[in-house]
Amino acid sequence: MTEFITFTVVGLATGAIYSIASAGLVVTYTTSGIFNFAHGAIGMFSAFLYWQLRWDDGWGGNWPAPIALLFVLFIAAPIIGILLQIVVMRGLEGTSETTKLVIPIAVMLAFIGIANWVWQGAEQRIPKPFFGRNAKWSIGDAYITWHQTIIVIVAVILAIALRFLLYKTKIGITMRAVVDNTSLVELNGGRPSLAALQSWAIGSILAAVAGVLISPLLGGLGVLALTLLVVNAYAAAIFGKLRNLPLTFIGGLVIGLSVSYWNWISSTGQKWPWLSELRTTLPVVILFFVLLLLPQERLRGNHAATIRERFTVPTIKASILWSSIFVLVISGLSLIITNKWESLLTRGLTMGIIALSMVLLTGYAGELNLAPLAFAGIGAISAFQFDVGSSVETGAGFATLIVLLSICFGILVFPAFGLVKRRLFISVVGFAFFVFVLVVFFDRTTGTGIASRESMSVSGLVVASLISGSVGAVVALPALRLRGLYLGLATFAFAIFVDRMVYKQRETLTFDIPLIGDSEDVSINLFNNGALNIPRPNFWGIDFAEKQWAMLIFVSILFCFISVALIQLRKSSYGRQLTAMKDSPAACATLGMNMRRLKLSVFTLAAAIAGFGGALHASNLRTIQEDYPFTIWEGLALFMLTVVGGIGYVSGALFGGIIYACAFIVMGDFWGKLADDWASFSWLFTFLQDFFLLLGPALAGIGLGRNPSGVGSQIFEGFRILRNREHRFIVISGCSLITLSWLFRVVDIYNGWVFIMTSLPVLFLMPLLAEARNRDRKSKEDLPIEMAGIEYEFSDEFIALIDAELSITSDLKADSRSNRNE
Amino acid sequence: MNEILNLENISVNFGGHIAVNEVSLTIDPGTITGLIGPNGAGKTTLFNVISGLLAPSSGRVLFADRDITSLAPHKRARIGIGRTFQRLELFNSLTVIDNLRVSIETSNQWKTSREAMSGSSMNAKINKILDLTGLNSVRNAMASEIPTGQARLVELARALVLSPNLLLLDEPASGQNDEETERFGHLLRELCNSGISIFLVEHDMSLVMNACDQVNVLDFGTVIAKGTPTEIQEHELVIEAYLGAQKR
Repeated sequence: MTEFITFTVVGLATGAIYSIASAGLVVTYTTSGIFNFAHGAIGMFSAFLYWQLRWDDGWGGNWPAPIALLFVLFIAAPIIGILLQIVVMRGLEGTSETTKLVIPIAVMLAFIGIANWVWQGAEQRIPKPFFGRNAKWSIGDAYITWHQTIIVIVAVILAIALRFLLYKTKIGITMRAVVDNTSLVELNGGRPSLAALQSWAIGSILAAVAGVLISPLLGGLGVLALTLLVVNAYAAAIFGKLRNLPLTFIGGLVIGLSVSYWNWISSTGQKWPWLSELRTTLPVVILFFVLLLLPQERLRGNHAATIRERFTVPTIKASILWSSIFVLVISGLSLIITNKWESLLTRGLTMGIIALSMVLLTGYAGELNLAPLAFAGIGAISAFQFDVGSSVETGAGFATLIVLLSICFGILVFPAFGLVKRRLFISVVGFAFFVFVLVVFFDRTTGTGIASRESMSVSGLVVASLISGSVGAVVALPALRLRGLYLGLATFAFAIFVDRMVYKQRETLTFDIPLIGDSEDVSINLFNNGALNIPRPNFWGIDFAEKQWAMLIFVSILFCFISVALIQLRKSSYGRQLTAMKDSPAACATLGMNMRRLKLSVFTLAAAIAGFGGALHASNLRTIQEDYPFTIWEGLALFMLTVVGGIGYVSGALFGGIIYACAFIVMGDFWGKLADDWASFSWLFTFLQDFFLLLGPALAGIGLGRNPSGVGSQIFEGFRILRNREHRFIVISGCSLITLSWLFRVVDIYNGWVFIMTSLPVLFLMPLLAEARNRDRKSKEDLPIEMAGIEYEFSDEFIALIDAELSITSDLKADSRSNRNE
Repeated sequence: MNEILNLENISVNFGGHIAVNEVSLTIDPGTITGLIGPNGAGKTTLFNVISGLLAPSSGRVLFADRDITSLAPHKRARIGIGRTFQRLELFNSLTVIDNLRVSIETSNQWKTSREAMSGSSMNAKINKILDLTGLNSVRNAMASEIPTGQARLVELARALVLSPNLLLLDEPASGQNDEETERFGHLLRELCNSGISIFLVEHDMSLVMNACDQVNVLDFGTVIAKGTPTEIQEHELVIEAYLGAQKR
């Protein structure tokens, strides 16, 4: 009984915090229609600020609790909320669903960046509970701390106060009215913008309350841990369908109690060791299932989104041409850049391949996936297990598994391409046979114990795609009915699940394949001891482990190959169906389209691409850890930057991958080097270095994420002018100059910096020059007719033009001449 | 002759609001049946119920004597119910011809391999429908860039590609000028003569009165009158509720 009371009280206390946090989410969502992903980060930031004011010996420090609380909750938090609303969120009205998700994600990453920047170092920051650790009272033998008591009391007061505010005060009624019809509120003399400000201030205060209350329960303050803890509140908010406050509060309590009772049953994770991380994962598991149980949304059109987002599709010829040029440029670059740059660029390209999965899923099909790197991680782990890690009773066991997987993959994906019945059967069997031959004969995965290969096999890459594709299907299957934000949240829950249950898994799992070998045919140690060493490939006599340049070119070829395949796919009947589904699900249904099958196939295909890219990325890095590079945070950053680059284009994926993996690191390095060289300005350069490393991606997201077609395509658009024949001279001279500069670099006449300083300006000057020429010519054309003979020559050509405009034929002219003569 | 569509006591509630109340009506094969009524009378809601986008709170939908009340929207399309939308639902990222292609390619997927069309016969069918609807001149234009009147024709053409037995047209003439509307009336008659039954929601009274064989009048979710256009024009309740305002 004592234990029951203790665990119930703990559950109620954490549940109450989730309730408070989720109430904040609900308040902002109902008034602005924006799901504030940054909510958890605001709570985290406030907890750090409170700690700083209350306990740190540096700046701030040692404020009395009431004053620190007043400052954090009623000055800092509302200001954060109001600023966020004015600077960032206000501009999101009428934007697409993706943008509405990306910008708050960018804000969240910005808060994480700022917190990491301000509170650097490994210093332990341990906030104390209210009235100290020993302030407690008891029910029977069970002790209840005053901190827990305060949490529950605060939650009850807030619940009542919010109810009163929203239903009994003018502010609250305006806030609720804004949701129903903003313009009507305006017509009736209400001020929707003021209501939005108030709701963001209140939401922010609630996040801060949750952050301050939860931080002493954690032991030490951690940026990511605190942010994620408030993420647990998402499930509570979904309980109330993001609108209903009482249900949201109940949801929070249910989650808090479930986690607490699970801890009790599992002896805080001691029992069932492979489920040990479930205690931290339970809230997102609940989130996933609550999302599935929500009543199905009616099929609707997609007006708002389609108005602003428009992606054009390049022709196959152009995409092949550009791909060849790209591989050529990369090959040329590999001759003049150092190993470090090669490695960074390879990283960017492998990340680009993962980002291509989002181009297919989100850009083409309009389905959100916030877990791209979870699928990439699964791909990397699969490749590792296939080539190195697992121990297998028989090679035939593996072959059987792979054949089953390929059949499964074929059945999921092929029907969407219009293959049915006999054709479907033949193609699935053919595909399975192809994979079988590859695994058994090409890579010789036979006999006993195939593990411990020293290089990554082709089969390993195929297996990575097949397994992550199948996992993608398993995740998508229950989520097929979800769309937009809800689908985004479901995949987000999956990403957190993978982060905790897979990457932190230390138990050995064993499986028995029926009819083959003895029991325990396959035993897998999913994530060894928090790090996996994944070998580089070794095909066609090229040792990719030794030659980074070869890896770079190999990866760039693969990127181009997948890109061209995706463009071809987009232009096929399948691609048209995806676009149609994105544009108007309702119309698709009335044309007889089975969208569930289509969604399932595109999810599977996208997850397979992500898995393939993940295996390559891991192989390029050689080692992956539980907290790098496939975590939820990295995934969100990559998603955000791909949107910035233009998620509807393969160039957007390239942009996202390269910017994510290289650009900010290179910029950080650049300032770091300057800080080393110029000691007197080191403070400035160190500041800039931290700025780019910690805040660069987030600020790029906030600043550019609103551009519906992306930066990548805009850059390409800028160069499009050069396709015109009349600018051939500019193109040829520009390219010659760059080639010349490249040659000078190859023969070591100057270093890399000079090459960059000479070639980049030429590259960017080319379209500018062409544009200037066009403008010059156009301005002449636009001159009014009265200026003939003054601004430009009164030539025969001009006279002919005027004649044509006035329909004066030569006969007429002759007539008039003869009349005049008469 | 059996009805092609039979609505039996259909009601739709949104929360406490009754949008459609115990509506029963039938559509005979090979006819054009009109559905008119003031804004908010429940016309589009009824179309959503027939095409399966909305489940009725009570009542049954019978299509060629088959109960389809709980059939998924895409399956209803497959048995021959096509529709257009009041708020345009074109695939705006695609060209006009690709809008039609999506439709025909989708239909090809659910057909048996014997019924499935070859690439050339698909193209032939698309061309025929583009000619019929007069959209040939804009076939390669982006769907988002053509005027509303033509966009409505694209929706119609997209539905026609499926060779439906019943076509639900939701205000197809809005956004068209008088000349276009007149041409549209002829087109409807031509389609009807080719065996397609048409259920038409329209505000343009001249089109309704000229083209329809039967007209139903909906007001506040209830059918207040049924009959031929002439009968409807003289119906007291209708004049009071709807046409009265126009006559005066």
